[in-house]
Order: sequence, then C-alpha cells, then structure tokens
Amino acid sequence: MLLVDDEPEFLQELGPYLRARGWTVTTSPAPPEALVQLATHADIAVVVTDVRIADRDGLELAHRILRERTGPTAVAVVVVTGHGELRGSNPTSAPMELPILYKPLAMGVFMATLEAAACRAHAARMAACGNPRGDSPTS
Amino acid sequence: VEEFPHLPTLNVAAAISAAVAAVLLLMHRQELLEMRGRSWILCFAAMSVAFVAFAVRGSGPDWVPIVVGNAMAWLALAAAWHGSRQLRAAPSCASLVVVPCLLWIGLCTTSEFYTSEQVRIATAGGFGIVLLSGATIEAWISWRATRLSSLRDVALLFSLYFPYFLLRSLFVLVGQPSVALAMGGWLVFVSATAIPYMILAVTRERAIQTQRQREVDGLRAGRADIDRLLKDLPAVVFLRELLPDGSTRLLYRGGDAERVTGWPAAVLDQLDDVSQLAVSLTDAERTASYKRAMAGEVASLEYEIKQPGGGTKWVRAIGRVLDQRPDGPVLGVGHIVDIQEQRNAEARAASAARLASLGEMALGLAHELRQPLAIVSMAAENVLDDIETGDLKAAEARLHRIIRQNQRASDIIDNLRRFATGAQHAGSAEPVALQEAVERALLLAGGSLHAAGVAVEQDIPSPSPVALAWPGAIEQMLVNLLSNANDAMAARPPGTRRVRIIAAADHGAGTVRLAVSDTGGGVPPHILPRLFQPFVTTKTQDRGTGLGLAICHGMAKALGGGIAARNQDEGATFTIILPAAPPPARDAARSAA
Repeated sequence: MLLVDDEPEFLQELGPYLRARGWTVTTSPAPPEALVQLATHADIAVVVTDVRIADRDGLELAHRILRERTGPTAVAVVVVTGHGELRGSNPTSAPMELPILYKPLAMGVFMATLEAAACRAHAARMAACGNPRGDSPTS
Repeated sequence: VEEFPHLPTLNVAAAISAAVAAVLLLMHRQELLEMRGRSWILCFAAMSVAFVAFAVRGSGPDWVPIVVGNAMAWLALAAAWHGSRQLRAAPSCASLVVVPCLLWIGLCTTSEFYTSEQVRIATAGGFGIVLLSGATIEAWISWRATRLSSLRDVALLFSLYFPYFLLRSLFVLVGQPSVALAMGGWLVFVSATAIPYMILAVTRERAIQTQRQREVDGLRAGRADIDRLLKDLPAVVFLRELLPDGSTRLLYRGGDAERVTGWPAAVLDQLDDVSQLAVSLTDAERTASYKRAMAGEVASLEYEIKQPGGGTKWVRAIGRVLDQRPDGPVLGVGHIVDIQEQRNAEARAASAARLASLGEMALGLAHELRQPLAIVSMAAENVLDDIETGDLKAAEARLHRIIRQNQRASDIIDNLRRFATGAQHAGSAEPVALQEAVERALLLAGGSLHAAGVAVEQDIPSPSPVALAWPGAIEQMLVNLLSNANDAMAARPPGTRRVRIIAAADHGAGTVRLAVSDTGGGVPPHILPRLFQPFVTTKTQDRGTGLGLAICHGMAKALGGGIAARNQDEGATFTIILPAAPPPARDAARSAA
C-alpha cells in the first residue's frame, strides 16, 4: 500500500503501525511522487491519501487513480482527512469506492476499511483476469 | 456783598472764564447729556453772570450786584450741588436748583433786608455755606462712587473754601479784614476759573469710563451669549493660555461640561483642567500633545477620567494654538468630547469582528488540531506495539513525539485564546518581533489557507524587524488580512493562490512595515477609497461583517501607525506601518558604557 501525506511525523507513525500488522508500506509526501510510485510498484493495491497535501488536491489524486487504475491494475483508495467540511457532504464518488475517514483515526474502523479496500482491489483484479472487460468503476 | 471783594478786573476775568467754560460745556453737551450733567452749563452760565454783576459794583446801580449777583451765585452753587449728584446718578430734582435763587430775590423785595447790610451779609453767609457744603459733600460722594480722579480735584477745590472761612474769621478778629477780603477774592477767582475746566475734564473722563464700561458690558453680554449658545453643546469648549514652561492656564470654559465629564459644575469650577480627573494620562502624553499644539498642529489626546460614582469614562481633547507671539503667552483653543459611546461601539465591533474571524477560522483550526491529534493517537498505538515487542528505545522516541505534538496542539489553543480575548487597547505597547507575530498568526490562519491550497511565502529579514504594539494586535490584523486574502482567492484556480508576507524596517522613519499580498485579483477600484470604513465589504453577507479592515485601521492608527491598500500585479497588497521598537542594542551599549 501507498501512504500519501505531507505530514512526515504522521507517516512515520502510521507506516510502522501498518507494517507491524503485515502490510507492505511505501510513503509519499505529494501526489506527483505518489503517481510515480504507483507506476513503478505494480503490487500497490491500496492508496491512503490526505485530502489536502501541500497545495495539491489529494481528492483529485484519488479520483485520478480510481479512473486510471482499473481492471488488472485496479487500486483501491482510502481518503483520510483532518477537515471537518467533508463530513456530511456528498462526495462525488460512491462511499463504497472512496471511503473517507477522519483524523485522528479510529484504528479499528481504519483497519477494517483497509481490509475491505484491499479485498475490493483484489476482487477487481481477479475479475479482470477472468473477464478482461470486467466491471471496472468507470465502465 | 463783602464775600466778593471789589476787584472789577478780576471779576470780569472770572466772568469770561466761566462763560468760556459754559460755552465749551455746551459744545460737549452730548457727553453731558449722557452723564446727565446739564446743570453744570447752567452753573457756569450763572457764575459768569454773577461775576459780571459783581464787576459793576460801585460804578452802577446797587441792586445789580446785590440782587442779580448773589441770586446768580446761589443759582451757580445750587446747580453745582445738583450737577455733583447727577454725576453719580443720585436722585435729584432739577427744579429745586432755582429755589435758593428765587428765595434770595424774594428776600430782597423786603425793605428791611435790602437796607440792612448786617442782615444781608449774615443771610448771604448762611446761603453760601449751606450751598457750598452741599456741593462739596456731593462732589466727594460722587468721586467715591465713580472713581473719576478729575472729580476728586473738583471736590478738593470746593473744600478749600472751608479753611478759607476759618482763616477769614481769624483775620477779621485780629483786625485785618483786607487780607481776608483779598484771600477770598483770589480763592473765588481761582475756583471760578479752574472748576469749569475741571468739570470739562470730568465729562471727558466720564465719557472714557462709560465707553470702557460699554466695552466690558459688551464683552460680558457676548460671553453670556456664547454661554447661552454653548450651554447644551455636548462638548467642553475651552480657551487656555499656554506658558513657555509647558504649563497651561484656563481662561474660558463653556459647553455642557457636566454632561461630558459626568461631574457637577461645583467640582468642575474648582478644576483648572479637566485632565486633572484623568486616571491614565502620563506626563509624556501631556508633553507630546503640548509640543504638537505648539508646533501648530491640531493636538488630540484621549484619556480616561474618574466618575463621581466610581468607574471611568473616555474623553477626547482636541486643541490647537490660536495665535502665537515670539514671546509671551500663547492662546490655545480646543474642545473635549465624550467618546465613551464610541469606545463601547468600537469594542463591540472589535469583538464582533473577532468572533466573525473566529468562525471563519474554525474550519482551518479543526484541521490544525486534528493533525497533531492524529499523530499522537498513531504514536500511542505504536508505543503499545513497542512495549509488546520490547523496543523501549522506539517507545521512548514516540513518547517524546507525543509530548511535542501535544505542545503543538496546546500552542494552537493558546493562540486562539489570545486572539479571542482581543488585543488589550488599554495596555502599553511592547516590542513585538514581526517574525514571531507572523508565525503566531499563521498558526491561527494557516489552517484555512492550507485547506484552500494557498501557498504562503514569507520574506522577513533576519534579525526580524521589531514593532511597538500591544500583544496580539499584529496577529489580529494579520489573521484578518490573511483571511481576507484567502476569501479573495477562493474564485481563483488552485495552484495560482499565493500569499506573500513581507516585513521590513524603515530606519529613517523609525517605523516597520508588514505587507500582505495576494493573487486574488485585487480590490474593485470603486471600493478602494473607502475600504477601511466600517461595513464596507466585498464579501457576501455570510462571509464578511465588513468590520475586519475597519478594526485593523483603527488599531494601526491607535498604535501610531497606519494601514494602506493598493492593487498590484495579480492582487491586492495591504501594508501595515507601525512604530519601530527602540533597538535594545542601544540600551545594552548604554548600560555597558
């Protein structure tokens, strides 16, 4: 999985936590770097991103990944945010495809969401293997 | 009559003198009329006739000096009596003036009186002493009443007759009646020639005195008019004398001072200066205001004064120099108004604007607080893991991180509290490093800017310029400007939203400058001139109160600086000018020396 956040201390804590729980974790401080990481590491199945990263839009990154990475290279995205404004608002994507969690993270929910996201990405990839024109989110 | 010795030349001269005086007085009758002194003309006219009548003694019919001469003499003396009373405006009846004269003529018609010289001389002496005493006493009293010095001289001359009567009796007793007669002749001559001109002097002096009195009355009436006009004015109007030693003296005070100051007139009348009631006025402020006034500027001074029922109220005194002479006293004029209501409104507006800013900041602050909390909770989870795996070194590092992040969160809350409490206007200004103020402001507003994807650039020299300001004031102004910049750039595409904070010191002017530029397209030109007026806003109702910049403006001005706005390049630039703090290095150097 790939963690995208501009707060290094947050990455320094979340990374080890997830690694201790069996995840392979890479981190990235900004969306452009994140896209490079994604392109070079095909095994990344889940991206966890903040909504605002420096002056770049994390939500835009999330949508772009969901749009571009479908089928056999499908990647699930989880958004974490420190902003209150997304709560109760109506994100453009379906909650199932783009879960939004709030900082500070409730770890139980977060881990469950991550598992679900990993399953979703895995299922999408498996479906794509069996049926190349499978039900990708953009189809 | 023996009182008047037979010296025809002397008598004619006296007659001419009295006649000339009568004519002169006639020419000044306007002044005489005003002082109701017409009877003096009659006095000298009668005197003139009397001397002519005495002059013909021996060379003409007997009855002329005896009847006409004496009757005219009594008329002159009675007129002098009457005239003296008139000079002090004492009640007097003009027709009584002729009574002694008519009485004498009446007596002369009886044959015993006319033929017996003894009886005649005795009667004439009685008439003379009574009328002369009356005129003399009245002249003295009138002098006491009017303080006309020329009238005193008249009274003195009249008084000379009394020692004369004594001496005359003495000389008659020692058998020298001729000496007595000569003395009397000269005295009559001197007084008859001198008194008329003295009366002329009295009329002139009286005219001047009346003129002065009129001027004084006019001034008094004018002042009463001013008092009446100013009575209900909600301001204290004052005229002061500014002395070279820096002190001032009250010359006039008008207006509704009781309402402005809240103190009764009895207390205010005891006060030379309303600022004696001040509770928060330093000598430095007084001196500075005095110097401004002396430099020809309009000096304005705001201070709190005690109230009779406890508590205080704010007033503003404004003064300027009326006219300044190279040396000697300088006149200053000014007024004091009650600005408590204005202060209250300003405080309410400031607090409203602060609350509005707080609302605008709330979202950004939520993010600012969540970030450290997220790190703290993650780190705590990891500490649990570390304890499980026995990696105590890692656990220790994480606990330190937790402490650090907690501190970060508590700093944000501290800043928020300081902001919400408001800058203490009443407190004294302290040196504030602009770098630190910018950091504190960014802790508050940075969240919102960050959330909106605004890039913040800083250009602050090192060491940072240091301003003289109330704690929190610069932060409040900066938060306002940053929040405005943020709102202004909301419609701009992401990636082009930039805020630039520039600090600089202007050593020549003793000021520091803090500029905030944005890329929000600038302020509409038609709003720019009145941008700092209250309730002027470019935002919609739910975003802005229109008070923020007005508060910034008021605050910068109160600190002895100012704030200006201009459009440039891609957006607006707001520049705050504040007085620079005196460099501490100088103090250190002085103490080292």
